[in-house]
Amino acid sequence: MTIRYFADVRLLTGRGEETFTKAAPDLRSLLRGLAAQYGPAFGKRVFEGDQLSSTLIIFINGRDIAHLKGIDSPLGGDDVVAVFPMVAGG
Amino acid sequence: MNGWSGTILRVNLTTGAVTKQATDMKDAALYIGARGLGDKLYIDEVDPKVDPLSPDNKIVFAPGPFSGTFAPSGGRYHVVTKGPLTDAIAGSNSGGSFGPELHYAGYDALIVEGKAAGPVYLWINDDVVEIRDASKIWGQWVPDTTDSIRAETDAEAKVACIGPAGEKQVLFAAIMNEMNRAAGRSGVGAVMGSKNLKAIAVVGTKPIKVADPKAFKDAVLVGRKLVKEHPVGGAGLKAYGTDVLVNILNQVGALPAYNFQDGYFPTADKVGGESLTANTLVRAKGCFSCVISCGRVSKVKNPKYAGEGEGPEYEAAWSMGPDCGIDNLEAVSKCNYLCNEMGMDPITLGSTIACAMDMFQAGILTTKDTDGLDLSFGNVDTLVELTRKIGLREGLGNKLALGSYRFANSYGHPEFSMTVKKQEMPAYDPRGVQGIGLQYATCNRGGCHVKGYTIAVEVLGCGAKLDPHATAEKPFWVKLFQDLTAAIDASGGCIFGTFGMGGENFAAMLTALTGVTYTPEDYLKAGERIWNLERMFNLEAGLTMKDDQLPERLTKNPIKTGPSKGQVSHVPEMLPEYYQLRGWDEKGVPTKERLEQLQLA
Repeated sequence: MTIRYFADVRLLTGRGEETFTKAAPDLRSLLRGLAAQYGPAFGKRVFEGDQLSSTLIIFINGRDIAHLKGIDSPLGGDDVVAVFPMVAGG
Repeated sequence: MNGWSGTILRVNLTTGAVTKQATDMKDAALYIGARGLGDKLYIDEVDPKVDPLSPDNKIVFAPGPFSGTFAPSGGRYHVVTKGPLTDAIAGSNSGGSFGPELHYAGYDALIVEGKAAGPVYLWINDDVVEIRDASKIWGQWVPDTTDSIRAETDAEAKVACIGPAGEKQVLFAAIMNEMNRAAGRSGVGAVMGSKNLKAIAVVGTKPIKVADPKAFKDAVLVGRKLVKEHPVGGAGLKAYGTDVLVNILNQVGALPAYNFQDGYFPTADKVGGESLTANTLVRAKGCFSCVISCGRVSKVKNPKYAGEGEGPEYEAAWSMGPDCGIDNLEAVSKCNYLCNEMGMDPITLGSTIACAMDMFQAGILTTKDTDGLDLSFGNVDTLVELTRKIGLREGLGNKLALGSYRFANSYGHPEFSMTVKKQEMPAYDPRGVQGIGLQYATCNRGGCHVKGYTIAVEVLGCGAKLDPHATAEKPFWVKLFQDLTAAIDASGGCIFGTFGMGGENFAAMLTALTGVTYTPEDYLKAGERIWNLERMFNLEAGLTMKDDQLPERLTKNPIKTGPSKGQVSHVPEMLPEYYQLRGWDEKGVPTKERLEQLQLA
């Protein structure tokens, strides 16, 4: 599974992309695994309690998880997960 | 007189006459200011069939009631004319501090008409207005022009000017104020050039009166707080600028690449906001009364592309980057500096070069047509050289200065031009994001994103989260964004203020400032009135529903790779519902009933 980080999230991971090889059947378990890997600052950035932070945008294979199953969206080995802060432009 | 200054300044460059007239306060209340009042003044006076580059055309510069107040990010002005690129109504909006200064000088609008016998500039020092000789300044680029005019007038003067592109009537020439802020689209700079008008310098010292100071202060403080507390308005835009969108749009598969041959570019990250922040950013910068600071002061040290200035914004990074098959941020930045210094719209410039590269790839152009240049996609040196040649109208640049539609059409292949109403579409692929395609198709000034930015709800999740691939409800959202944006533009506000504020906040500030009551519904209705006024001008200019279409490539050729692979645009299916919501007939003509409702009949 490929994980991509952008903007200030990238500052927390120190990398723009990585291959995640541990078991992660859904997004929640993936984010928990990443929080364990990158520490409290990352965990605080992606979670609000048990829920996903409201200031993040997460895509799985280009689809916003709002249009999938949110934080419970299932994941597979070939999936690409992109993690953005809420940003905009024009 | 509150909010509005009460005076319209008129300068006739043919006769040299400078006159002033009272602002029609009924029109001011209905059309607010800036884009709205500017539209009303212009459309009342100009034949819609006018040649945009003839002396019969006029050009209006108008601040809004907010311009110069401490309303959040309320420092904008609007330039209204008929666009030489589009042959449609042009409305180009800019920040900086020129708009507030014009308002401080005591004017709700400046109307420039006729044509000067030789190069001139306007010097507006409160009530004293002079037409001055600019023959020694003509030919200078934007930074030198700005410095020269300040030296001749006032070191603190705010200067809006054209560079060589405007002088030579490049059809997508911009008007630049404070050197790096642009009224960029549709060729408004060429209209100034056609009038031999090099620049306008302004110093203003008059106050803007407020109807209810306490209510205005309260409404402004609420608005500022909402923007500052919003993740986008408060921190996101300041940290990474608009260029942060490169990666987001690429990850959803809606970053047009290779002149819209595709919607995904594997190395886009190299020209994105994260790379800009790490490599070329000097500091963030805001416009007058800005609480966001999305501007990028930047510098490139590599001698090959050395330069400094501002940007690139997302649109420029895309048009001169992935749309041309290029991922070199330093080269893109160099071209962006050249656009600012020569006074050109980088969206149309990059897209026009991408069109030429596409035609070169197809074998329609050869090196015999290109001054010997290799126009292969990805050729960085060609990008930089063509940018310079277009600004000076040299060789191939003289043909590309007409924009992609006229260029491609001159070779019998208009299908290579990625335009709506002859204006190049911006950096969101309508095949991957359906609503923005409808916005492009129906926008009164042609291919444009800012006058109906549905990306906020289709991709960014600001206010709502809509499926970008779906078409349901998109006509409703497009109309809503278009009407609200028209009202914000008319107020002198910045649309980035909507990353925090809603229509009710803008309406509350405007009511307290002007003393004219605007409910949120009134405010939106004013926007709809402005939209329909512009539509009627375009129809009388000769445009029809056939101009509300995207290039065939986007409705017939699916995106080839990336997350939106296989998608095409469904604008034709959405258009009838959009017309219906607007109260227009099946041919896109506003009905008498709707015009009466909007007090336009």
